[in-house]
Amino acid sequence: MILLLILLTGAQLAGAQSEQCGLCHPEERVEHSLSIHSQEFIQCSDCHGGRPAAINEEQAHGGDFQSLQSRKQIPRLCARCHADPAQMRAYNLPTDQYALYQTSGHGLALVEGNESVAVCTDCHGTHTILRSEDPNSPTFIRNIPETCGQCHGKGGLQADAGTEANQLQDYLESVHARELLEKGNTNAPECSRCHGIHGAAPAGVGDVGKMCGNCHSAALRAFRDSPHASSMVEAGLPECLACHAHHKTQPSRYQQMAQACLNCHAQGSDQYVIGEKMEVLFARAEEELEHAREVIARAERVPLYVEDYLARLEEARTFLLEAEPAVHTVSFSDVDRFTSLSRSLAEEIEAEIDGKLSDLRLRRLLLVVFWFYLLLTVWILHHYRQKALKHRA
Amino acid sequence: MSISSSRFLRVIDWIERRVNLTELFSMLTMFGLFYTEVDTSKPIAEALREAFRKPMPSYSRWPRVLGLLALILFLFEVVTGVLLAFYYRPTPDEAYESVLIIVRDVDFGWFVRQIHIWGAQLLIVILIARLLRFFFRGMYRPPRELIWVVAALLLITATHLDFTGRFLAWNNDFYWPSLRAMELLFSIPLIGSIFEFFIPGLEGHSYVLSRFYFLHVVLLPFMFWLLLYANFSGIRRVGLSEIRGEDTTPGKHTFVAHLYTLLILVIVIFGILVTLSVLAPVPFGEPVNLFETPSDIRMPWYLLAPYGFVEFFPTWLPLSLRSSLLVILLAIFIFLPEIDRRAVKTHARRTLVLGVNIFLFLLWIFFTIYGRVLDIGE
Repeated sequence: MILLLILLTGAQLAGAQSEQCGLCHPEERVEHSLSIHSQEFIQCSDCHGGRPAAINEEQAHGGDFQSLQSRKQIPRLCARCHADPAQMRAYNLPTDQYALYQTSGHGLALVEGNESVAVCTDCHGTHTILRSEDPNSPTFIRNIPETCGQCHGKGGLQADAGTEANQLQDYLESVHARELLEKGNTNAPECSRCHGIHGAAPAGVGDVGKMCGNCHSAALRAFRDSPHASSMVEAGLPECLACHAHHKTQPSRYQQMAQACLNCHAQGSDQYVIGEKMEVLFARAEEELEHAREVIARAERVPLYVEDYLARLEEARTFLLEAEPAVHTVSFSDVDRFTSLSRSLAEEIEAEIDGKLSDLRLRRLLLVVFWFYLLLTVWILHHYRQKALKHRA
Repeated sequence: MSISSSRFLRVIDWIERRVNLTELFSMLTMFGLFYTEVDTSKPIAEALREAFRKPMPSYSRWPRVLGLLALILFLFEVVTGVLLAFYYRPTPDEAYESVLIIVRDVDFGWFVRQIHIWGAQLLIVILIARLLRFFFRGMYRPPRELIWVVAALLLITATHLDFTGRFLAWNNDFYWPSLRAMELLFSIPLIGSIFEFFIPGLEGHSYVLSRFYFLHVVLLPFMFWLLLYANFSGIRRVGLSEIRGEDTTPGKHTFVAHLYTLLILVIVIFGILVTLSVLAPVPFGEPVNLFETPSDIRMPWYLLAPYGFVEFFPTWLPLSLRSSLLVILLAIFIFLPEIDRRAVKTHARRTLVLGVNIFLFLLWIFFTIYGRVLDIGE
């Protein structure tokens, strides 16, 4: 009796709160129940229309019902709410996604009738739409490369269309991916940081520098002072990417500097020689810093007070770090200014510690003097001792 | 000269009417300054005159001098220890840092620390040498039994002093051997549980450090001082040990000559300590890392023999049994006079005892080497 009562109340409550679609579509119902839309009481009929209270298919799929099989409808459907500032204000969400989408490579291709391009649901999911902050969401910052890679990666849709598609694989080898995916540094860029989110499009020649410069501002400033800046645009070269690989961006190593010049300049050319010279500047500064580090470690074992030297070593390292963006000017003197500062600071540290360590060596020398006076004292005491003994005798 | 000396005598006289200076002088004789007993009822001037006139053999003659050297080294340890205590802070958070400050920032701090460390090693070496001399010369026989026991206890106290001192540095090279040694100590039945009451494991290490500090600066030095007193007092009663070929004719040695020799000894020991400190400074080491046991745990050199002994037996033998065996051996060693008295009745047995002595000594050397090899093996 009680069981029946509970069942009845349960059924009534369910009937009052939700729609009856789940009777025939249990999977979709479960999927939807996990989504942010379900939490905000957006129900099946809000997108699909129809008569949700009906319990047979004929009645339920009547009226303004739409199955949403056509991908072309989707952006506009989502925009009904997401482009409406009045509805989105409460969630503090932007409303320009639809407008941006229409300018994107995806949006433009869709208008032209290519229905295989990405629409909202390809990135955000269909029924289980989650907030971007949710780590399970395909649009969570660390999931974005995989999400884009569904099409822009080996075996993706783009590969089917016959275009080269290894952007994801290239990206995963890059320093940016290592930072983001392995170290969890969310300051490192995923795809959308360079290509845009809803307005995703490849950057044109002349824009690459601006894009990279959003983060690497010092390098961009130096680059713009260089003869490369104008000549690359004229030659149609993709600025930063001419030396640093495309999606496979690697941390810069000074040992590869001259090698990068060979991409455009001939071996033995003036430009190549400058590259080689700059390599030497870095190598010498790096070597000096390493030496200073060893000397400090030796002093620490004595132990001497080294905190001050450690701070100055950090300063020397900072100069070397500043020399890295300066490389983009391809001016020998600009790089030399920073590497020399770094090197001379390291040499200063070494000289000072060496001075203190040689003070320690002086102790051994003083030991000789010490023993001389000590033995002299012993001799005098011995003399008086003998005298005392003789006096006694 | 005469005016100042008469004024000096007047001051002495003034003090003497209030304090028994002869008693103070007699107290100094308890620590090797003077050999014969002093009549404290006489005024100081008379007592001194008597002392100066009295012909006597001297402590300060090889190899009898070893006891006096131990006293001098102990005084060096006290002076340098007091200096170090001004800067040392006995808490786990500050101990390492404070020693670092002593060595790095305080003027001559490194010097005082090195003298303190090397002095302790030298003190143990000298106490061992002294014990070996007693051991082979049979100087534990009546009437010198107590002097032997005191000498053995002096060595044990000195090693404990050194051991607690090493721990205070809060240094990774010394922390882990301490842990191993305490494990051994606690495993001894009965005695271990008594120790455990005072030092309940290394887990609550903040207590352990302060307790070790207390042991190192108060209790153990006080014990050492008492034992030194017992040592010199015993010698004054039973007489100095005989040295073969010593000229004992009266008038050969005097108190003044003895004082000069004492001064020379102090200076030479200081010279040796300074030389060791400069040429072979003890490395400073890393702070204790409680989360990583180092691969090689180096026991202090004087603990290598007990360590080797315990490790020599197969591991299925419980540690408590091995440590008990060690304690029994130590007890036999300390109470050697009593065992010897019961054993030695005939001349033939006497050579047997000497044979046993040599065997024990070789065993000690063997286990020291074994303990050392164990370290390298790990």
